Amino acid sequence: MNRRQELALGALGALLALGACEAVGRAGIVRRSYLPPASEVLARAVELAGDRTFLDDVAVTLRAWALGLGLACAIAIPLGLLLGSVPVVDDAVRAVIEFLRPLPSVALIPLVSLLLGTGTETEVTLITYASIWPILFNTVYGLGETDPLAKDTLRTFGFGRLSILLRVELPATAPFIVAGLRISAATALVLATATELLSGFGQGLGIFIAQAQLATDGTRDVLAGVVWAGVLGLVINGVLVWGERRAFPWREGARGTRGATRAAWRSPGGSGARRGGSGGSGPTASAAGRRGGPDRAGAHGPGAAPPGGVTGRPREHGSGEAADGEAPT
Amino acid sequence: MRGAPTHESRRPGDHGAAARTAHLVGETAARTARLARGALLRRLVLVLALTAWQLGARAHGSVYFPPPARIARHAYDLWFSGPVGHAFLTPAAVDTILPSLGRMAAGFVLAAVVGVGLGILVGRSPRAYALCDPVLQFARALPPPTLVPVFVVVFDFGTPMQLASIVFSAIWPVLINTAEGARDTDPLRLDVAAVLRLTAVERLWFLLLPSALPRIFAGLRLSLSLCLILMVFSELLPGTANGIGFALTDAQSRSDLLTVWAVLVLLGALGYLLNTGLLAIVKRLTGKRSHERRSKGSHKSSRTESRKGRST
Amino acid sequence: MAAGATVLALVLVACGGGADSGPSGDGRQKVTVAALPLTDAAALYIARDRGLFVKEGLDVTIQPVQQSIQALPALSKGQVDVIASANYVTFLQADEKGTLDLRILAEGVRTAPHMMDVLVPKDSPIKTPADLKGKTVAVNILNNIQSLTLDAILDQQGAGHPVYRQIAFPQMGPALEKGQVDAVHAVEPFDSAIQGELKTRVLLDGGSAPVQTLPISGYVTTSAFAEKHAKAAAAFKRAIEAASKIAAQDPSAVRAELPKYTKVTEDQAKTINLPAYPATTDAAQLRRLIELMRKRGLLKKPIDPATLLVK
Repeated sequence: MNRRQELALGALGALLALGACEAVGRAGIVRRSYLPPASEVLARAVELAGDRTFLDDVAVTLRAWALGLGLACAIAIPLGLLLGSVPVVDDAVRAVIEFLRPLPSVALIPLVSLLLGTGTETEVTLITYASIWPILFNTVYGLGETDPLAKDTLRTFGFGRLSILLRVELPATAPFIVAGLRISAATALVLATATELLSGFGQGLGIFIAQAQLATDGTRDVLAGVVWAGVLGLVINGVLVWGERRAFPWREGARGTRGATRAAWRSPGGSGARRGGSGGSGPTASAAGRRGGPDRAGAHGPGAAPPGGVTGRPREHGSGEAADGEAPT
Repeated sequence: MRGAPTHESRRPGDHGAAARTAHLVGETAARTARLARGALLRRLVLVLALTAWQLGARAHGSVYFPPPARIARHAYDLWFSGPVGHAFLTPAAVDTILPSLGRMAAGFVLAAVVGVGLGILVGRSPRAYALCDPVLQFARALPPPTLVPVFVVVFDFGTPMQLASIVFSAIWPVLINTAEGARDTDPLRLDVAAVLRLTAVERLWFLLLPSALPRIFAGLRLSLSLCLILMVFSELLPGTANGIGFALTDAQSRSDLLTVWAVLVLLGALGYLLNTGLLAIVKRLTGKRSHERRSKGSHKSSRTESRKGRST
Repeated sequence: MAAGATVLALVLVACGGGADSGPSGDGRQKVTVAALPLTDAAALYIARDRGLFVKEGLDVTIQPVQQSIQALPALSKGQVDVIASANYVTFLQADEKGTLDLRILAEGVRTAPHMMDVLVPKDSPIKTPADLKGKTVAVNILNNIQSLTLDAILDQQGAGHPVYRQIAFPQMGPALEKGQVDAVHAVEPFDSAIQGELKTRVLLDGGSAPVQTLPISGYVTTSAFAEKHAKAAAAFKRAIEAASKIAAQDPSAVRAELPKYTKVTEDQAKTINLPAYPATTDAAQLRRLIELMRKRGLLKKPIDPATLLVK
């Protein structure tokens, strides 16, 4: 099934879902003002696209989102490289990280807003805090997945530690970092809107929704805002997936990447599962060959694209698995 | 892994079983020492961090940063100074922590069951997956607190609404991961299943579920950490009368910062415990694997493996 | 990790700006006010629209907020200068806990007949206030002014207390309709809106004795602002009090103002019950409120409201 068929089916699915919502709305099961039908909500959402103040609000949210994400990268990537390269530091810091990570950033809103006031600073802080973990863990995980042959080769040529880091490990880790970034981006947007909603003061998409919530007949506006939030998330996810495909084409492979399944069996501790853990690596390998999966190719050469050995595409949602399941929000 | 026979047989200069045994013992000792050192280092850093926090907060003296000792004492007074019979929980704790945990557990189990079920359905056929994908991605991007008006209308106030809001947001990692896992089932095995004329149920039980299991577990772990957050969110919904998230917002509206900090620490501890617990269960279920971080040895063994694979 | 992020964000704050409460381009003092879209803030909008602020040499910017507690962080950081329709209970508690150094510029509203009511479904078995004992009543914020006043009223009548559930005003209608709560304690304009949409009956006037003409909300600021911009604070106070006088004497002014800044329609504005707009700030009335709070344990320290007033 090619991309066009997929898109067509996807559009059909969306239409079906819309139709269902519309039917429920018009069936009169609930009062119109409490839950307007989908068509009204969509009409309002489209109407909002022309509303200057609303677009300003969305811009504020997106700006906070971008800032937060950027800051998270700036902190998480170097830190991840450090943790992945120096096991002692990793060991030492693990305990602290394990305690900080599960803390839901929504719970930090009261405290952070008292410290930083309301506005972009609070939002950016919370977004950064939540976005750091997926990127950090994916960086560390990706470092561990680097083909040791490549590293050894450069070492025999006399390159220093830092050089190896920059020339081999960083490019090899890049796909994982980007996958972590993609996960963070989605949750960062959700968090941006949710933070605005809960702090209730200032500018942003969440504020628009919060103010609409308080009106006696504001559900239509609320749902229109929600539609916008969902669409923004979709668009961002789509853009990032497309970017990832373009930047790392070798990672994509066939739709169901063999490497992903095999990689998924791997525990955080080691690559031990490749030792036939998924049962019959022989036939799977040839299946991969049949599918033209490029993952296998990596086993052959050092340093050449694709680096990273037999890992498949860093899993979209399961990368957290290697990272012991991060707390996204 | 270190000490595995294949690895051993390739080491140059190895002669005889005695030498091999000595080598094994030596390696095990080294590994144990390393593990112990790591654990000690972790504890040390934790203690250092706590001490730094305590001293810093005392020195700063700000109302926004009470020292951790005060926070701990306040949390103890609030929740853990109860009678032994109640596991040291005060009535306030029973009223606050237990309902929250209950909701979270119920929400997680429900999200897991429904998520895996729907995920398998969606993942089984590429058509179904393509059909549902945009809708799923859209629903996933919706911030939980924005859906309050919808939940208010559809569900009863209180627990049904809270459960619904938890399940609605916690289901996506499980569902999507399950679908992808089911989708990635080795087509060769599907062919074999067809040849063996397995029924749908058998195919599900013996083929789809096991191959999707790692992804499902990954999704479950994501979902569990999500559930903690969603639990807090759900207790901001109208009609809530108790719970940890409720205690948080109540403390905030009363400007009771000490309780806010106590709740934060509690949430962190709960999250850590849950995460560790689930990790332990998953590791148990997927068999005994090494829990060490990736070491050079395992890399070498994987290279060994790939060399072996190529030569096959 | 969090500490690092916070440090970085604090750097951002240092680089970014706070609120500018300095003189604006044409020499007028700039004041930023956060206001709720409720009847409480009517005097603010009257003052703006009738040029009372301009007359006092003030350039006032109004920012909407949903609950006054949400603007508290901004107030304490100086991102806003004044909060209009600030819930006294919340802010007195903040002052007591030390998160804010409170000053009250002017009173906002006091209770008036039927500005908030306890509503029950028409066919409810609850007929008298005494029937409320043990039943569930929805209030906007728990342990705040609504439960405070309702408990006081019931005590006066010798009736037992109900159990309170926190439900935001717009959701009180659906909650009552579905029978999730036995009664709702709604403030205008939600009071009239619910009565118009559902078959309800007014069980109790939320402003009856002993809480008649009790201060509910007002215009608050920080001591930092009051000291640094004493002239502007005094000018603001004068403008608000003048506007409140207009509001008290001419309710139609308020009714004309409401549709402009709330989601109340013109028709609704004509019929809703307005609160009382006091033209002067009376420490004695505030003392009544504080006494009530202390009696219910909402406040521990005895605060003398006179010390909080801005001259």
